[in-house]
Amino acid sequence: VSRLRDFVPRAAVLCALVALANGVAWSLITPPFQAPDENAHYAYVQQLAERAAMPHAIYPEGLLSAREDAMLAALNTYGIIDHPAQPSLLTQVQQQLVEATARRDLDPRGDGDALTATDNPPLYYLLEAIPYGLVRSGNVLDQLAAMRALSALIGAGTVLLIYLFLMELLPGRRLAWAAGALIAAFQPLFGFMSGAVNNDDLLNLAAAGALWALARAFRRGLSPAGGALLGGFIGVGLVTKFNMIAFVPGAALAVVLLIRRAWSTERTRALCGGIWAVGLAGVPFGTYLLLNRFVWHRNAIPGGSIGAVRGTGARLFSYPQELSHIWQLFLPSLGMSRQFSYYPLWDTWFKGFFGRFGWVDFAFPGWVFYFALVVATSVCALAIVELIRRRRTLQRRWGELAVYTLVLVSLAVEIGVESYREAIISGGRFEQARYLIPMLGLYAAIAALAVRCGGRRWGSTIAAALVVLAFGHDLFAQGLTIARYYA
Amino acid sequence: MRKRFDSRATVTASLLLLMLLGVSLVILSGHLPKEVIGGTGRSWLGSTSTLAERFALGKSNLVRHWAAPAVVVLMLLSGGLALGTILRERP
Repeated sequence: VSRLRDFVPRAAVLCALVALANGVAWSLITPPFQAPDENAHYAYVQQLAERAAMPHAIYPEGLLSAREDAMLAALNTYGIIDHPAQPSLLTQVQQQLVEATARRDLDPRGDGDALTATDNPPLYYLLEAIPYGLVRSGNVLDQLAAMRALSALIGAGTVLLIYLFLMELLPGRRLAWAAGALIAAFQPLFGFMSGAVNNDDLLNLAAAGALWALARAFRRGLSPAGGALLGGFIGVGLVTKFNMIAFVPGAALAVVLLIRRAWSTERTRALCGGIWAVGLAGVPFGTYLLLNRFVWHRNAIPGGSIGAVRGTGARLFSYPQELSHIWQLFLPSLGMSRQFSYYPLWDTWFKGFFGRFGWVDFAFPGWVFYFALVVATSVCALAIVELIRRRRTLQRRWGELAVYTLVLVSLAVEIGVESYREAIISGGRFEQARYLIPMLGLYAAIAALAVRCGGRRWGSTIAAALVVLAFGHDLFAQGLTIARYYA
Repeated sequence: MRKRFDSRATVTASLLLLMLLGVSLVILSGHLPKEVIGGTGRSWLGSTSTLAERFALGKSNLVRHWAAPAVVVLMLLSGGLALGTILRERP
């Protein structure tokens, strides 16, 4: 126990408990199936648990189980999504219909289609099958509540790993670690997703773990244990959601740089670490791809294909346009042909990250985002001042910085590629701010740098102010959600 | 003896919490127009029981009867834990 206490500080456990309480609160606030694709993620788990089989795509679209479909109808789920003026249930008559639906002995097995979740890897859903199976009543709402509790626990694990990441990234300032982890714990979009059934939750945990493993390896050198940690987290992420592929180029660069650094002194140790990293990331993912293709007869690559796609709308696929689309999805256009009628950096990413919830169908009023912009700019300015102050250390750690930058760029490219293909295939919008939550560790690091900037004199004050602001932001987001569904 | 909490940080946190409480009370009382706060713009304080009643609808039987008070307790707990943690840490 004492060794564990040395390894995981008490403050890290407290930050994780804060995230757990917040995640459970969000799980109680958000009405059933009013989180993105929750109906599809539930259907995936139901398919695994009831048929012991992977879901498969049925065209044009298969049926969910009668049990889930009846509950979705009783809850008026599709009548609420994308209708911000339509609240959740309001009357006892509607509640009686929900209870009557729950009592009906309907088939929990559907056609095997899990809608948008069908192509996902299975790890998160296998874990969620445990609370699903533990609920003996077979009631969809009871199962969903238990599954959401597991998601909140995974969210707590994510915050614990973010604390450990900050410990390795910014050694010496305990206050900055706690402040960064708490600000991550109170990030409202993260809290909202932690209270929902979605494989993003396990992806976020794997991403936070991979960031920790990278920072640890750069600080202590690449060892077999460190390599296993890095490969393990990437492996877990890859068999959870394909987006984890964004970590692969950065992790590969890190392994090369760390082996090069250790070449004259600890070559064997570093090489063993590299082998562990490649093995633990590659074997689960390779096994999954082979099973997917030859046993489960599903698309080897989620989404279907690499390369050009055929458009059904007015737009035709082109690689230069794809490059332009990816650029403009995150950065201002530099004389390119306009890909968007709005500014994604502001409308999709900033507003989405700081205050859009549900099925992306309601948000804070406009002035809140301008206030958030002032706070975010101030925090970034403090972080930049701290980086300039520590420029010598930064120069020594350029390789590590390059790795985090590459991970961030890879994630942006990965989202951009999917966004462009969705726009070509269906004319729809793919991108959502929640796809950036795997970078929550870097968000926490910016806050932690701002706290460090205050030094011993002002550090505590900046930390206290930022944590209270983050708490307030989270509370108002919950209030907004309550107003959306229950007022 | 070392001080348990940093006094400047404690004052900052207290002031911000008071501001937070003030803004919350103004919003809850419905004194701000709908365009400013979003939602319905109605007073929440006057409709607490209706909100609590609706909050229990369409939820799992495992949670529906205690969901509303649980949210309040959980958020008080998380806020208290967070403040205690941040004020106790040395810069």
